[in-house]
Amino acid sequence: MPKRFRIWVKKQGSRSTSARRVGEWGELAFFAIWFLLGLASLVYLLAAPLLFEETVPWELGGGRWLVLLVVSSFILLGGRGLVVTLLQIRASRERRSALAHNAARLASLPESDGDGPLMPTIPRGVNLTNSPGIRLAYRLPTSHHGAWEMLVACSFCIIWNALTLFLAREVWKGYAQGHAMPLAAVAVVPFLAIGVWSIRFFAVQLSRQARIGPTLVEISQQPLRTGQAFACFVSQSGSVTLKQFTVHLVCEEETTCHQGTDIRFDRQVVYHEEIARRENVELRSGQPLEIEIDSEIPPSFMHSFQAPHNAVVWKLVVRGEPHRGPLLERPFPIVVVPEDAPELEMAGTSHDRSAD
Amino acid sequence: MIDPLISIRLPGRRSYEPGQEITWHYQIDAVRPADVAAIEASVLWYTIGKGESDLSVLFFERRVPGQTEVGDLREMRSVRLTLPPTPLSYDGVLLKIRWCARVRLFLRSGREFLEEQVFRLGNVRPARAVVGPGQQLITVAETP
Repeated sequence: MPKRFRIWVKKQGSRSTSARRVGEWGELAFFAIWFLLGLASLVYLLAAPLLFEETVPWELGGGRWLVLLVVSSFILLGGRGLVVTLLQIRASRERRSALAHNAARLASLPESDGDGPLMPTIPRGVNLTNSPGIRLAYRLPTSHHGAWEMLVACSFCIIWNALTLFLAREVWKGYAQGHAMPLAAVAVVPFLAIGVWSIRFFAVQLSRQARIGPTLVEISQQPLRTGQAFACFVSQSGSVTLKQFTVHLVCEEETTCHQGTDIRFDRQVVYHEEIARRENVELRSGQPLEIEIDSEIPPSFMHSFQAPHNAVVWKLVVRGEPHRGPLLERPFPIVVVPEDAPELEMAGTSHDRSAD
Repeated sequence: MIDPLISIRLPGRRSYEPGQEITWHYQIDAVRPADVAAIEASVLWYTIGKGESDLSVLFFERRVPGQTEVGDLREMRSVRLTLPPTPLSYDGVLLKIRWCARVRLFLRSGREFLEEQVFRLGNVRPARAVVGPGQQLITVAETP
C-alpha cells in the first residue's frame, strides 16, 4: 500500500510507488500554475501599455515575437496538460479507453459501418501485401533499411569533411598571412581524425552494399495462421563468399516503457527455428542463391499482436556470415493470426492473388 | 464502516473460446443506495510485464443514479456479450495479456473500489525465452 506522501519515489512507465492521488493533484497544480503564469504574462504584455503611461507601446517586432512565442507556449502546453490531467482524474482507465473507442468508431464512419476493424491488435501494414511475388503470392518487405544507413553515412561524411576543410583552410590562411592560430590548428586535428573515420565508414558501407546485394523473400500466404504450413522462397544476390547462409522463423516479444525522459525498449525471442541452411555459399553477379522452403507456424502459439507499448512480432530472418566483414542480417515481418480467426482483410490485399 | 462488497460471477470455468457468447453477473452489497455515485462495469484486456501497460475495453457501461438509472444500482445485473477473436490470453516472458470482467464502484464520499475476475480467452501455450538467430546460449560452468 503506497504511503500518502513520499519525497523519493520509484517510477517505471505509469507504475509508481507514490500515492496515485497525490501524483495526480501535484501534476494538476503544476500545469495549472504553468497555464496561469502564461495567461497572466500575456494579459500584462497586452494591457500594460494601456494601464501604465510610461510603458513602451506594444509593437510586434524585435524581441517581442520571442516573448509572445514563449508566453503562448506556456498557455498551450499548460492548458493541454491541465485538460489531459483533469480527464485522467475524472475518468477511469476503462472509461477513457471506451471514449477513445467511440471516437475512433465515429471517425471511421465514412469508410465502414462504424464497427472499426475486427481484430484491431493484429498489425495491418499496407506494405505487407501490396507487392506480388514472382514465384509465390507475396513479396515481403524488409524492416531493415540499408539505404537509410548509407544516406546517413554519406550525409555525415560530406557535411563533416566540408566543415573540416573550411576550418583547415582558415588556419592555413592565418599561417600564410603571418598571424598563426596554434590553438585552432590543434583543434583541427580531432576534426580531421573524425573526417577520416567517416570516409572509412562510408566506404565500408558502400562496399558492403555492393558486395551483398538485395534479399528477396516471397511467401505463399499472408496472413498466416497458427499451425498452418506455408511455402517460402528466398533469393540472395551479390558477389561474396558466405561461410553459411541461414533462414530463421522467429517470434519476438517487444516492450517499451518510459524511464524518466528515456524510452526503454526490450526484446525477447520466444520462438526460433532454423528453416534453411546452406554452407560455403559463393554468390556471383547474375547468379543469385535461390532456396525454396516449406515450413509451418507452430500450433497453439501466440499470434501477432500490436499495442502501443507491447507487441508480439513474427518474422523471417535471413542471415549470412561472410568470411570477413560485417554480418548480413535482414528481417522480414509476417502476420500470424489464430488458427480459427475470421478472414482478415489486409490493407492493399487483392483476393485473387493467393489463388495464383 | 466496512468496505462495500462487489461480486462478479463468470460462467463455467473461466476459460472461453473466441467468438463464444457469455453472460456474466455483478452485484454490489454492504453499501447504502444513497452513497453510490456511479458504477462502471467493463470487460477488457490489459497487458502486464516489463513494458507500460496497454488496455482496451470490449464492453463498458457507466451507471449513475438519477441519470442513467432510476432503480437500485446494487441489484444483480447481467451482461451478455460475444468474445472477440483476438487478442488471446497470453503468458509471455516480457508481457502477459489478461482478460477480465471489472467493476468499479464510486461512492459519493470520493472513495473508489475495484473488483475484477480474470478469465482465459483461447488456448495459447505459455512462452519461454529461447536463443535467437546468431545468439549463443550462455551457461555458467559448474564449480568443482
